[in-house]
Parts: sequence; C-alpha cells; structure tokens
Amino acid sequence: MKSLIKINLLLFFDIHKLFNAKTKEEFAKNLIKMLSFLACFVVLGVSVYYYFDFIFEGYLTLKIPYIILAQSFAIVSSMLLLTNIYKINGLLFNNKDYNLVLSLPVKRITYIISKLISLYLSNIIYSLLIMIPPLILYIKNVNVDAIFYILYFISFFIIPLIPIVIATIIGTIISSISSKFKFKNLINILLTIALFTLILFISMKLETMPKIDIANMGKSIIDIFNNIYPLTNLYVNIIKDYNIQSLFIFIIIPLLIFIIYIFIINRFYTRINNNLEKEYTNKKYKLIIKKGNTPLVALYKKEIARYFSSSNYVMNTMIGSIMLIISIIIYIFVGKDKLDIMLGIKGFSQAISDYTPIVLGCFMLLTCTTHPSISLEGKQAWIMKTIPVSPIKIFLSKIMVNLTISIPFLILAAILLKIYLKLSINTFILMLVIPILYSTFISMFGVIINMCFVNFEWKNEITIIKQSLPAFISILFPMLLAVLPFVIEHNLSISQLNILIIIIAILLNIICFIILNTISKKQFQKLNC
Amino acid sequence: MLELKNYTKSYVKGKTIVDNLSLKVEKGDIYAFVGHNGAGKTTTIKSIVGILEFDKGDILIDNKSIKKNEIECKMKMAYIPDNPDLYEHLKGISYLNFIADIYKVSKEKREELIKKYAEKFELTKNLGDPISSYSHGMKQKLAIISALIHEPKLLILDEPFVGLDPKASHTLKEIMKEMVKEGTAIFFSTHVLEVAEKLCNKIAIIKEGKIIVEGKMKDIIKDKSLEDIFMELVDEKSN
Repeated sequence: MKSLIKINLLLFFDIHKLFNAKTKEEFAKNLIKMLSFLACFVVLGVSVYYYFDFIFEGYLTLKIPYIILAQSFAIVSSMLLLTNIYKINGLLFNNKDYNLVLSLPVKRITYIISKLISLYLSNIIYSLLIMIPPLILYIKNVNVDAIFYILYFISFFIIPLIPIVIATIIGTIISSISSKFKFKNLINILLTIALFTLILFISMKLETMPKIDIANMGKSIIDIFNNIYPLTNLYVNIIKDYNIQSLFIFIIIPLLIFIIYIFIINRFYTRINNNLEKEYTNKKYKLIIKKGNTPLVALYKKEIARYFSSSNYVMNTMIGSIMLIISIIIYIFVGKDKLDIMLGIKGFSQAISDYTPIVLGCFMLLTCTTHPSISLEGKQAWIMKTIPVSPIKIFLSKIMVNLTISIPFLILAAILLKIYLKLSINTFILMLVIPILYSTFISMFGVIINMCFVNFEWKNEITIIKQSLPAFISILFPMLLAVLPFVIEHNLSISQLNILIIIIAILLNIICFIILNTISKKQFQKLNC
Repeated sequence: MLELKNYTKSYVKGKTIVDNLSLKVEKGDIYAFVGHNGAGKTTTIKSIVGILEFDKGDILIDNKSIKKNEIECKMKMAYIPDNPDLYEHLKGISYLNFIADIYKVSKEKREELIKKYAEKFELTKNLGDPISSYSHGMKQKLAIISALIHEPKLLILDEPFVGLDPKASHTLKEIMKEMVKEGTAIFFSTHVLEVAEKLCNKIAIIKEGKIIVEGKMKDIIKDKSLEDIFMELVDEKSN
C-alpha cells in the first residue's frame, strides 16, 4: 500500500525526474520546472489571499468575520466535489496501471484504497491553496483561542473526505452506466455535464433561495452558502461555536460512508473496469473510402476525435464554456442581488452588464484545450514529427479545436445576454470581437507554453491535463489579462476601455503568432520522441 | 535516393552516439542496417526521418537536404518505427485516410492501395474497429499499410519484422521485393541476420556509432554466412 501511494505521488509531482536526471542540464531543467510549479502555486495562493482580502472588509464591518471561513469552506468543498467527479474515471477506473499492478501480488482493495488516498492527498494540496489565505486574514483580525486552531485543523483534514466520498459514489455510478454503452466517453461526458448542471440548480434552489435578512446578515449569508454546499452550517458550528458534537458528526459520517463504499466497490470493481476497457468491434464492416480532405482538415479532424475520446480532457478544458452558459442562466434566473452576495463582491452583477464583452472574454480565457495538446501526443508523437506537414499547421489544427469548443458557446451566451440586458448592436459585436480575440490568444498561448514544457512520458493523461506546469501557467497568466481592464478602467470611459482592450488583445495575438512561428517552431524541430 | 554524409549525432556534449557515418542507398536497393543494441541504428533512422536533429554532416533524400527541404523530403519517404504506437482513438480506416490526406493521395489511388494491402495483410475486416482494440501485430500491419498507401520512393523501417506473424512477415518481404523492382529504395534495421542476408543487396554493420563494414552483400559475405561475418567483425573490432 505504502509503495503504491508513494509511486502515485511521485508521478503526481514528477519528483522522480529530478532525482533520476542523467545530466546536469536535465537536472537543471527539471529543477526549473519544479520551481516554476512552486512559483505558480504561490502566485495562485497570493491571488486567493487578495480575493478574500477584498471581500473581508465588508464582513468585518458587519461584524461577521467568520463568514470568510464558511465561504472558503463552501468554495473548496464544491470545487473538490465537482472536480473529483470527473477525476474518478481515469484515476480509479480505466487507469492504465491497473493490469500491471493487479498482475503483482497486490489485493484489489489495496489498489482501490491507494488510489483514493492519493486523490485525498492531492485534494489536501488544493484545499491548502484556498483555505489558508482566509485563515491568515481571520487570525490577523480576530482573537482566537487554542481550541479554534485544534478544531480548524482537525476539520481541515476531514474537508476533502466528504467531496471524495460523494464524488466517488457519483463517479462510480456514471462510470458503471457509461461502461454499458458503445460510446462510453461521450456518455460519460454528457452525464457529467448534466449532473453539474443539476447540482448547480439544486444548490441554487432557484425558487426557495433564502431572503436576505438585514438584521441577521450572518445567518442569511451562511444559509446561502449552505444552499451551495449543505454542510456549511455544520462547519460554522465547529469553527465559530466550537461545537464538538458537530465535529463528531463531521468526522464519523463521511468515514463510515467511505468504509462501506470501499467494501461495496471492491465487489463490483473488476466488472465495471472490464466493461470500461471493452472495445466494441464492427463484425460486419465493409470497406468504403470517402473523399479526402486537405492536410489541415485531416489534422483538425484527428485532433477533434482525440479531444472527444477523453472525458478527462473535455471536462477539464471545456469548463470555461460550460461555466459561461450556466453562469448566464444563473445570472438571468437568480437575480443580481443574490449573485453579489454569493460572490462576496458588491456591485459585481452591475459590473457584468457594464463590461459584458470583457466578462465574456474572461470566460474564454478559462477554455484552453491547447496547453496539454502537444504533450498528449505521447508515444504517438513520432507521427507528427515524420509527416510532411509544417509545425505551424500542426499548431493551427490544435488551435482550431480550442476555437471550435469555445466560439459556439460564446455566440449562444452573447445572444442570451443581448436579449436579457437589451444591449445595443455595437455592444453585441464587441461581445463577439473581444472574446474571440481572447480565445485565439489563449489557444496560441497554450501551444507556446506546452512547447516550452513538453512531456511525452506520462502514464496517466490527467497529469498532463490538470497537474502539469503548462496547466498552471495557462490559468495564471491569462488571469492577469482578465484583471487588466479592471486595473486600468479608472481613467477611461467604457468605449475607450473596449478599444484599448481590443488593441492589447490584437498585440498579444500578434506576439503569440510570431513566437509560434519562430521559437515554438524551432522547439518542435528539436523535440525528441 | 538516400545519402548520409559524415552524419554525427550526440545527445550530451562530448558523448557521440553516431560518429561520422556515411552511406548511400540507391533506387532499387534493399539496404540492411545491422548492429548490436545501442549501436546507434535507431538514432540514425530517427534523424533520417526527421524526428531527431543532428550535429554534423548532412542527410540527403533524392539529393535534397532534410535540413533545408524537410517537407519535400518527408513527402518522398515513409517510416515504420519498431514500436507501432498509433492514434488509439481512431479506427483503422480513419488512420489510413488521415495518412492518405496528409500525403494528398487521390480517392481512387487510396481506394486501390488500401484494398490491396489490407487484403494482403488480412486486415480488411478490422479496419472499422478502433486501433485501441488491435493487437501489437495488427498495429504493426496497419503501420505498414499506412506507409505503403502513398507509394514512397524511400521506405525506412526499424525492426519491421518484430511482432509480425510468419505469414505477414512473408507478405512484407514479397512487397519489399516488388517495390524495389519499381525503383523504391528500402533501408531497414534488423537483428534477424538470416532475413538481411536473403533479402538485401547491400548492408552496413554499425558498432558503437561507427560503420565497421559497408557495401554489397555478396562482396561482404562471399562464401560465408552473414552471421559468421557479423560475429567475426564484431569480435575483431572488440579485440
């Protein structure tokens, strides 16, 4: 068990590469990669700190500082729940190392537990990123007892357990349903998206959203967070009222469900996994040759097929487009006031209607299918290196996938907002131009970053899609672009700001295109596979 | 058709993998590239097909440098690696169409050649299945078909017979003989000396990155077997 967890974690952090480096150059390259990883983590942590710092002042004024802890709890729990659901297929099921490990004298239950513990430990790291900054703010401003720290840290280590339990159960159900179909990945993707939408709608409880009680603001806000993540009240009882009974429930229930789940899944694991691995073959196949395509179209079709063949790839990279549509529906149905409270930013919804083109652009920045696209070639990279096609065409085919995934959602979002906010035709055009420029930028940026840190030696594609340095950088750098308009807006009118943003976005696109044509092209030629 | 001029490759500074290698493969040649594991065969082949860059010398395909005319050179050749890792998410037929599209093969030509080679390798009924469902041998057959459907002038193969069943091995050898009759040049690495001896008209034996013998097969082996010659040469150089 220890060895399995150790191997999983070594692969997760790529630490083994540092110690196994054959040359000084390789060691230095891996060290830079790890330090950049750490730097990204710190910058993300600092960004989270400033987000909470921005909203904490309001809570302090209202004398409800503990809300910051409840809010971070609700955010981290919801985030872990949603991300763990689509991680289960690929981590627990359909994992490439399953056959190898099970051929060794290892019990199936040991394999399952080792995978879940690895998931738990990776969840702890993400929890640190979101939970520690508000904790620092809280203890800087509020006098707390020693018991607070004890209860906080005990509950901290329990927090990921609940989303893992719920996500593994849901993920297992989705995997076992999709395993029965021919198009397993497609069914998996559709079920996960449908579930995400359902969870969001239930958590919003559109009809029965609690009303804001000014006299009892703290409770009202907790009720809203409790609607988003139903254990928030219990958590507040622990960290605010030091309620030991709540802590007991908080620990015992998930542990109990977890143990029962492991015993149940152990019985059905092999059947589900075998079904997922089973390939459907066409016994009555007749050879029909269709009309050919140009090399670029052929590359694009191959890329699209690759994209939709992996539910992990789709769920991790399409999130921006899906979130965009869901957010707009929530925006339209929930109403502006409650949205402000949920996000903790006063006037947020008004800002959305003022800055629709830029806000839509920010969502486009969240959709980046290209940052893992070169690395995902993996062992098949020899094909793209030997075919008579220029690197630029290969890059372009990957960029086109990103645009295919984001632009239809953008058009739908722009139409919905135009109708709901009764926007002018000029604004509508801007709602398309700025986000498309952002989308082409992030598509090219993803390829550029991936070319700087290519890794063909992955064992599980999730490490490339979600846990790699390009994945972190492609979140971090565009965040700066997203924040930029709000930093410079003080001195400009909205139309001036839009023009400035268009100019900046065009410049960024030109810079990226030049880099792709020069540096990335050379890097491609130097790729060893 | 293929010429290596003082080709030199090192992965780390000061540690040369292939040193000053020169050889020439003419139209109609079946050229065997033989050597121990780690002698530098795959590195050389990867440079020829454009996977690896190299430090010194040049590689010419049909008298054009791969460094300067990469796309044009790649258009004329086909490569089959020792381990056929293909796009698992595609069906066999989709992969063949993808390769045909890349090499701009007309509909009529691809139809004719896919039918011809798929039947020869008994893969026709599996072309509608995802590659992920294929065995190693089936993937190898598909990789071979994909290399043949654009009628390359130069065929580069790295250990092509590994993983093939006896019938497919025989078919491949027959196809190779057929192709060289039509003017194609074939360059391949192998550990199977009997195959090299029977099939090839030229050979180069490489040891620790240097060619120790190169030329026409009949001139090198004379009345001995290739295995005897190989062992003699390798032992001689070691002593």
